[in-house]
Amino acid sequence: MGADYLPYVAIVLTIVLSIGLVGVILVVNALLGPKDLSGAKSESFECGNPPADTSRKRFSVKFYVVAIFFVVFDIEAVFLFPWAVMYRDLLKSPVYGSIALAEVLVFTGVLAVGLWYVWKKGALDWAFDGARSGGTDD
Amino acid sequence: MKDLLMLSPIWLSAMTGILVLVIDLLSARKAPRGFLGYVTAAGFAATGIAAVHYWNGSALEAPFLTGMLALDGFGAFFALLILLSGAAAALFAIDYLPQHGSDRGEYYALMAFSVCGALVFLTAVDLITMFLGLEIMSLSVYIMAAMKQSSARSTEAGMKYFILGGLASAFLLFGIAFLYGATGSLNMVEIGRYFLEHDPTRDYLFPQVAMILLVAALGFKVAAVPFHMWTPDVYDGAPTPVTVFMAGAVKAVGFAVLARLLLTVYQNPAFDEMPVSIPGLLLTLSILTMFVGNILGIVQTNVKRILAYSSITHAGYLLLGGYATMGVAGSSGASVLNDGVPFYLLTYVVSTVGAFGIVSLLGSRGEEDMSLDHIAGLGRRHPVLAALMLVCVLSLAGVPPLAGFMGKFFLFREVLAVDPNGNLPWVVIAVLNSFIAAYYYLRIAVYMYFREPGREPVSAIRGVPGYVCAGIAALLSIWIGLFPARYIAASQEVSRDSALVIATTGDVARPAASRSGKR
Amino acid sequence: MTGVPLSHFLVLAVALFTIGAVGVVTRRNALVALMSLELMLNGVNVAFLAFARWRGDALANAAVFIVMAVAAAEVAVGLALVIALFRHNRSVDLDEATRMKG
Repeated sequence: MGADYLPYVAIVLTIVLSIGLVGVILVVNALLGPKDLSGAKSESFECGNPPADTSRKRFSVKFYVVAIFFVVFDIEAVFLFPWAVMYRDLLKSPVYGSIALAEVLVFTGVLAVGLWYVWKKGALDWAFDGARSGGTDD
Repeated sequence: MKDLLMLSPIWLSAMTGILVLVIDLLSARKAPRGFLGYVTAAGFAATGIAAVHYWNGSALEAPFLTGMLALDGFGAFFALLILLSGAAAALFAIDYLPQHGSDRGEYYALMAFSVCGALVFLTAVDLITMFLGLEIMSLSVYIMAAMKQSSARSTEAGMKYFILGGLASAFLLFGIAFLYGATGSLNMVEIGRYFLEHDPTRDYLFPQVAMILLVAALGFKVAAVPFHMWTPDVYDGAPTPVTVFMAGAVKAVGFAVLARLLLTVYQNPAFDEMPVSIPGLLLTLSILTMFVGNILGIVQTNVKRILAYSSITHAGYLLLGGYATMGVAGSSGASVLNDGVPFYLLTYVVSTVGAFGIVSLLGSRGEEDMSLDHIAGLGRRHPVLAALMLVCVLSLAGVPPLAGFMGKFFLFREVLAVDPNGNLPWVVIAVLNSFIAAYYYLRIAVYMYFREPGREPVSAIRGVPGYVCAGIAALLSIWIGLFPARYIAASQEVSRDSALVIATTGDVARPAASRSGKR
Repeated sequence: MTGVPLSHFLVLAVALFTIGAVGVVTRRNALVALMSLELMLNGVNVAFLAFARWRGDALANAAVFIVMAVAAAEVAVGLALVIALFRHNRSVDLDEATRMKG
């Protein structure tokens, strides 16, 4: 067994420890905890309110649209982080500094046009049946 | 500043898309969106002029933008094919979309974005830029294919194309990852040079795997058998103007990138000793594609599907051209694209855009079941459309003196020129296949002219832009057939620039600005 | 450099990619097919990062960012298509989407 396997030992140890810990807690809980599964106790817990509905319910398709926009706009931030990290260095050169600024402005500008478009199309107002939400089914 | 001008075709097409989106937002909700088609076509025209004007050098000396893009004559030639298909797809849609209940401005914007992506994909030297371009192009096309929201077939076409297209993109990316693993570079030119300078036969596992993945991914885009499964369904289900774009632009750019990528990266002749060699693989794909496309094409009864299989078959002929790459005069080892291929693509794109475009004009009120029975008697009921269709279809079949014939003739002649004896059997097979294919093309003609109209004869959309486009396509199909010299010359010039790395005789290429000190 | 050798990462990458590819081809649920596509892209990302670490080169790390962004865009388009498919078929089963036979 060479040094090659050393990194794996830590991983295996972590796995064993975490599974073991969970197992111990479950076992101790089952042995020591009082059991009374009657009435309100067996209902699902929603921060104290009585559950309104089953959790297997279908959601309105409008929420999917919001989720899709979230995925797209969220991930664009990935390009801003490296830019932000590098910008201070780039500022030292007058040429690259302004180019970097212009580039990021174009980038966010395109994103802003996209956001404006989404907004105007009414895809963001899910509370009311917006102008052209495009998804009114379900 | 010069950089911005060189890049102008790419940002012009992107700006066209954004402009169309903004105009669409500011227009009255119920207003017809047809005028956006003209805006898009005008944007593409400007893009084309910019491409011809600025992309005229040879990228062999200086790939552009720190080696990210190669903006040269090769790019300009295929950019024109992309832009022609894109403009046609926009103009055919002007009357098609309202007729089929999906008159939306987004279509034109997506068409512009797709063209922009295709231009990036086409000119990319950096492989990640190439992937980015492919995705910009493809994602727009997936949405356009599913644009006819009332039609379940359209949605299915979009879904099918998306799933299999995503698979192909992942293959391309994995191939890129293996090339990076083998060479430590993501730049096509640097990778090609690396393989020229280091004996690639010693450790060929990564390049071999990468090659198979890349050919599979691009084979999907150009609809080569066995990656053709999606083609008939997607071409059939998608709105027909989108099919125009897929059969024209996507296929052209797929071949351009396939040629440039394989020739640049695998320029070293030693690669022919890999267990799966590039010529062998391309030849197999080519023969398979020709036969499968033709045999399945014969049994089809739907015009759109017939044309879809026709487009598969044409991919087979083009792959034969890819198989028979040529040596550059004066230096033995280097190979460039067979100069029949760009010209063949030109003739194919012109005719297939015309044929699919005319199909988009037939059919009305959301109904688009284009079986052969529907077009029976078209010659009498819509003589102009039938005549234009006849020209395009005969050109695809390769009937002299139309463009398609010149394309086939020149391609096969050039394939023979590479190796007169060795390639003879393959050319014979290709010619034989052209005769098989003639059957289903002529069947369309026979139904149009010699059959009585069926019970539900098809009605035609009356729209000026569509008719003009179809007329131009048919006219070009005749014109290129009669006067091919200029186009052949352009094709030869383009082919010379197809590889971005050129191996000189036997030895290693060391261009002036060699950056080989990287490793 | 001590630690996990390149081949182990590559095996993981190829495994992820293959599981994804098989999933795309065989699974009937459109959402599962979509997830399999993402799995393939993530397999590629693992390969990129493994090669980058092996070579001590940051180039592929930038590539991974771009792949991630593209994957997000792909998911957005894919989910929109799934919704459109559901409207027509009342299900996301790909086998039911067979109005056309290849």
